[in-house]
Amino acid sequence: MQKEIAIAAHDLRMTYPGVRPVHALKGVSLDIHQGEMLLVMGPSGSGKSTLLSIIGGLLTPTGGSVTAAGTELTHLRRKELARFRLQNFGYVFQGFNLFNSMTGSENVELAFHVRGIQGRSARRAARDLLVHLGLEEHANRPARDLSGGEKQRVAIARALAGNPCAILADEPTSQLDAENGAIVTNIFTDLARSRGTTVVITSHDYRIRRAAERVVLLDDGRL
Amino acid sequence: MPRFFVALCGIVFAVTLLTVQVALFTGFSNSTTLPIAESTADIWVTAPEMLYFEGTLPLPYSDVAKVRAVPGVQRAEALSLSVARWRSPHDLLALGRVIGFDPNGTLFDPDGADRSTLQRLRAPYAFAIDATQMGILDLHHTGQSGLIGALPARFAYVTHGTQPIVSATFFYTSLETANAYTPSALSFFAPPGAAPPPLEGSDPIMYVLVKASDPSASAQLAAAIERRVPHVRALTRDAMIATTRDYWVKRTGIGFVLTLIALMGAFVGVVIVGQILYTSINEHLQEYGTLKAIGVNDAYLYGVIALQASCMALIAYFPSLALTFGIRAISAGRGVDILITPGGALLVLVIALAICIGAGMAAMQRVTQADPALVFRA
Ligand SMILES: Nc1ncnc2c1ncn2[C@@H]1O[C@H](COP(=O)(O)OP(=O)(O)OP(=O)(O)O)[C@@H](O)[C@H]1O
Ligand SMILES: [Mg+2]
Repeated sequence: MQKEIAIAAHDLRMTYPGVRPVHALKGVSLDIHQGEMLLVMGPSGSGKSTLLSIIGGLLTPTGGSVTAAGTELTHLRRKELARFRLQNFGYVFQGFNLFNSMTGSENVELAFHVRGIQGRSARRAARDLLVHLGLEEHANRPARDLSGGEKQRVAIARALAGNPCAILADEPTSQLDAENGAIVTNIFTDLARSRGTTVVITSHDYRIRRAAERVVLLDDGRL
Repeated sequence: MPRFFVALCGIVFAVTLLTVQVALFTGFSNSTTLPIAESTADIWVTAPEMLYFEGTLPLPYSDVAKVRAVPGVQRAEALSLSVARWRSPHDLLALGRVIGFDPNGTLFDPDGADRSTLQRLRAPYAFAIDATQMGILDLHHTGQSGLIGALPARFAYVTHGTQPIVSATFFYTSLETANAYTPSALSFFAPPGAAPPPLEGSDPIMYVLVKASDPSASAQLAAAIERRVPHVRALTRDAMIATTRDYWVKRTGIGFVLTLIALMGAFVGVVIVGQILYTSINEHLQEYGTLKAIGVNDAYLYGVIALQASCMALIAYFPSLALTFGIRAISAGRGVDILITPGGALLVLVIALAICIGAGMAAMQRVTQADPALVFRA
């Protein structure tokens, strides 16, 4: 069965300027299918985060193009790109990046607020997501008091708030213990299988490697 | 959280500086027009050359009758103004102003004294002064005497809050006494001990105070007076106040200096608030960056900062207002009036909000220039 292409990257090149310019990507082409769980692996400094930033519309490459949801990202202006990210992508970070003074639930509600959903609707939707991820008990504790695994699940709930077509996760399990790493990995697998969400992960975690449908290896800016 | 407290002290200091300047400005401009506020006259008639309350030229006393004859004038009373050379019982010298008015009249009453108090000015060579001026004149209690020019002068009663800070001491006397003190040939021939004679038509006065039959038509009546009485200018009470206030505020540069200090207060406020918000934003840069990465637009982020900044403005505003009232209490009775009006308080609130939000917007540059891809860097 040939699946639809969700994100198409063509001949991506990224050079970070500086006294000694860094060629982080040296021509990367990659098609990511809808509902696919793709794992990007590679040694430290090979350009994984750079690739994910470009695919996710956070960074404009110095060469090449990215097309997602039928839109050529490299042609969008800053503001349009921000709106595109808000409507199409969800992000999960290595360090969780939660608002520590807010509760888990408020962190997720915030993601609804910035999309124009307010008040009780936002509260209910946030609660549904958290319950779905098995967090009904801890949702009302401040984010800083949650365990790493709980934090990352709150972060995933936040990423899902906009009902994105793709989730981009940079080393989402590297700060988690084995058990929580497995829980998070299962959540991603389930997202791709049952929701049809495209999941792009960078990781060293072999557990994800086993769960991923496809693994690409990045080495020195090349696949 | 001591850091927050220190920060708060900083903003409170800046906003207090601002509030005191505004209050000082209000107090100052209010003070310059005190004699006009002390009168219930609807219209002030004076020489066309008039610049401000004390800066005008004399009219003949006979103009009072002419003004009184204009239809629509209910009452007309004279107010005179002349230079006083004061010599205290201990030969201390001071320069002042004699304000002569009719103690039997109804249009001028410094400090709103009652009838019987006012009647004390009917005694020959009796005067009233503001409590703040007693020290300058070397006077300690009523009943003491000194000299104005070559004539005796007796301290009859004390007024409160009537002395403009910009003016030399005002001696409030009856018209007759004031006329006797006015340096002219007449006073030289006044027999010692005799009461000053009533005014004649040619004697100088400065203003004709007018009560209109219909106060709401004061402007029309003022125009009618200018038509019917030659060589005078008639100003409504509001115009008189505005002319005098504007003279002092614009022409003396005092307003400019106070505005400058107020601007300095505002500047200090911007720097302090900007510094605090910048530090706070820096500490939460990761969170702002996360919002940016998610795709939240700048307007939303500006809103978040504006809200924080407004909270700071409000938190600082009320202690500042309280402090200013405290400073007012301390400085009361020293000639400097710190006046906090609702309008002034509102102005300070608006400026405080503008300062904080402005500083917040400047500090926001840190966020708008941040690279959204930062979030994927550990
Ligand atoms: N903003 C930047 N400016 C300059 N060089 C950068 C910048 N970001 C990344 N680099 C460089 O680009 C190369 C690729 O970086 P990248 O973060 O994409 O690697 P990575 O594969 O994610 O590494 P890690 O596994 O350590 O996270 C590295 O050599 C890095 O030093
Ligand atoms: Mg990385």
